Amino acid sequence: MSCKLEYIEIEALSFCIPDTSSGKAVKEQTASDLAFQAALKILETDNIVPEEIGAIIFLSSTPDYRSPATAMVLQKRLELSLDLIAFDVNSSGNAFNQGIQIGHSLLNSSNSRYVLILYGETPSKRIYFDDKESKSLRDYGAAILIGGSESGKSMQLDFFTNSKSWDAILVKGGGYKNAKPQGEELPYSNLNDPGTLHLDKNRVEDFQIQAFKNLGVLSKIKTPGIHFISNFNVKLLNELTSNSLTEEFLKSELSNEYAGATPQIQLQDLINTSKEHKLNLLSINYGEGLLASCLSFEIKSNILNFSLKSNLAYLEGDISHDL
Amino acid sequence: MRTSHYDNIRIAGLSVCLPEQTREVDSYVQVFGKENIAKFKKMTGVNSVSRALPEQTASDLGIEASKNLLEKLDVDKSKIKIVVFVSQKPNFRLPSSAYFIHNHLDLNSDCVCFDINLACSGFIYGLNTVAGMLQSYDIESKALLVTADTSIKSLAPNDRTMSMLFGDSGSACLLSKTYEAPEINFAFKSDGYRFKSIITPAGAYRNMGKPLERVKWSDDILRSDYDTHMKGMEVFGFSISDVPALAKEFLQYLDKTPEDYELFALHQANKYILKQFSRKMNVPIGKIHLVLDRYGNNSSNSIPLVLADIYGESQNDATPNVFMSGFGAGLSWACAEAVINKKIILEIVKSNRTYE
Repeated sequence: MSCKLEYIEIEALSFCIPDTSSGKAVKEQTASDLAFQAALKILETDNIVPEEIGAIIFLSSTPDYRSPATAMVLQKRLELSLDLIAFDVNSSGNAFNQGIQIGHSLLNSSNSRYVLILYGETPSKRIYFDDKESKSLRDYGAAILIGGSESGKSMQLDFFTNSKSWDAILVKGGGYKNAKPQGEELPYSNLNDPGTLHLDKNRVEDFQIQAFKNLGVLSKIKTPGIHFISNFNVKLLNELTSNSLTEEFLKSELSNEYAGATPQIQLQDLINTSKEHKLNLLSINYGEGLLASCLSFEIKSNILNFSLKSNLAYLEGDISHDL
Repeated sequence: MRTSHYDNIRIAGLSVCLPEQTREVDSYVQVFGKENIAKFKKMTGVNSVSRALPEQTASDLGIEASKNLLEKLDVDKSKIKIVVFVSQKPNFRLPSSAYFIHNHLDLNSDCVCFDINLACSGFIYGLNTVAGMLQSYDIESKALLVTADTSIKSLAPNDRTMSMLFGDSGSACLLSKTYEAPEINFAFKSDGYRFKSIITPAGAYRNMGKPLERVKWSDDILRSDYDTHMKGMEVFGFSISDVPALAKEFLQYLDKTPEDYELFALHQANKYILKQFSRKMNVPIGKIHLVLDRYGNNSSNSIPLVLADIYGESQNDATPNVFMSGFGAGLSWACAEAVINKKIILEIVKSNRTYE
């Protein structure tokens, strides 16, 4: 069953990667530092009054702290008003589609003019086993500004969850399952472990096939004039559908090394090169959970659209002991 | 003040699960001494706290509360389209524990899941998030909001201000989209300018690689950067000024007074703070139900615990108007008002069950 996201428009997109040849963030730099730079560029350029932003959400599996939410730190750094809904969501592979869904709900239900959706990951800070694909994942931060619109076309969003494979993409550590006592008695946690990404390639590929069918992607991609943005393994799906995928869909596999942000990078590239006034899009994401989502939406091609590089880190956030 | 409003969302069920054991504050006498224990009890009103087993997680308590709710209220699971888990004590960094919960509840595949990282304001923020999300779904669609915490697991053992204060529990709240329902109103504020007021400095991706060894801080308490620290006076000031200020502003906005509510279900910070709320808001103390005396401060789960404690054994279907307020780390605070049918609030269950 689809859900319908109405009265919403994407007003700006911004993306920031580390300014390093490896694509890895510098030592002190976090995902929120990258997302902060992306958001700042939008706010500075569009002269948005802080009071007009009613909510900020930060989607990531690599937040600054276990507590409080990194969205709070970003509120301070972006000098937003206290009249704000702010929280973190633990979402990585589906962050683009999920961010828009949650942002939409906060925008339409509250007295807010804009909602700022920030997301980012620093996979380079984790420990990896010998998995080539996960080793190639790059660090990034991204920002999406959404606003209300009476005239915009509604968005359509479908989800497919297979939680029986919840451990097929798993970062152990940093939580409280199978926790160990730290010190003599308490606390029990694995917080000191930055985590190791375990990716069960077979189960993840099987899931992509299941999701592709379940979400009805094959019929949706035949819609004339539609553009695709996706972090799916498109080559695999093409093989499975006897090479029946359209050329446009095959082109969508640009750079999956940005995981959940791949759709946004692809979208920003499309906006930069398109001569169309409006773009019709299908965003197909998959990620941990396992969860896949399919979002169809329209976007104006003259919106704010930034790609940045930065190595700046928030040194004030490096706090200890006597705070 | 950021506000939101709904007139098509019904709170259709609420269930709370506590661990089977509690710990008496008096049992800390060997660690903190008689005098400190007496002072603590007088100031906070906490006599005992609910305590999860070391191997029991917040999601375990949330699953038990959810199972109880789905079974006792005979919920059509195919209608559940959203599972949101609010906690500061998730199972892993990735994926969200909401998927783990979804799996153990055997829910349908057309359901979106995620975790929200918030503390004591989490129930109200979570309620608003799922109510807002349900707007884009069909009538009769349902959402499951699970809040749970095992706060003790990030506290330094000899931190007397914290380790005797916090309790562990989980809850499940079912929301349903209908054509018409009594209004639910919300008000929100966030103050990230004071994000250091309650913080676990290390353990995520800022301040990586800090030593595990505990050293003495200026308040003479041994802590590491993986232990949660609260700036007591700063948080106290916030709790007795900013929190009632938002509640007052919210009541003015709604054009209501404390007399319009049967119950004030407040975050169970400590007894003194709740008394101050009563005084500043002119709310009779009898309308502020206490659970912290028996279970302590239960973080995001305080409000569900209050509701289940007072209404959980009620057999009648009276529909009191309830005022709620949650406040804590962030700093983050929020108020809500809702009409809740007593009959859908279940008796508290206790469990030590764990899930793999």
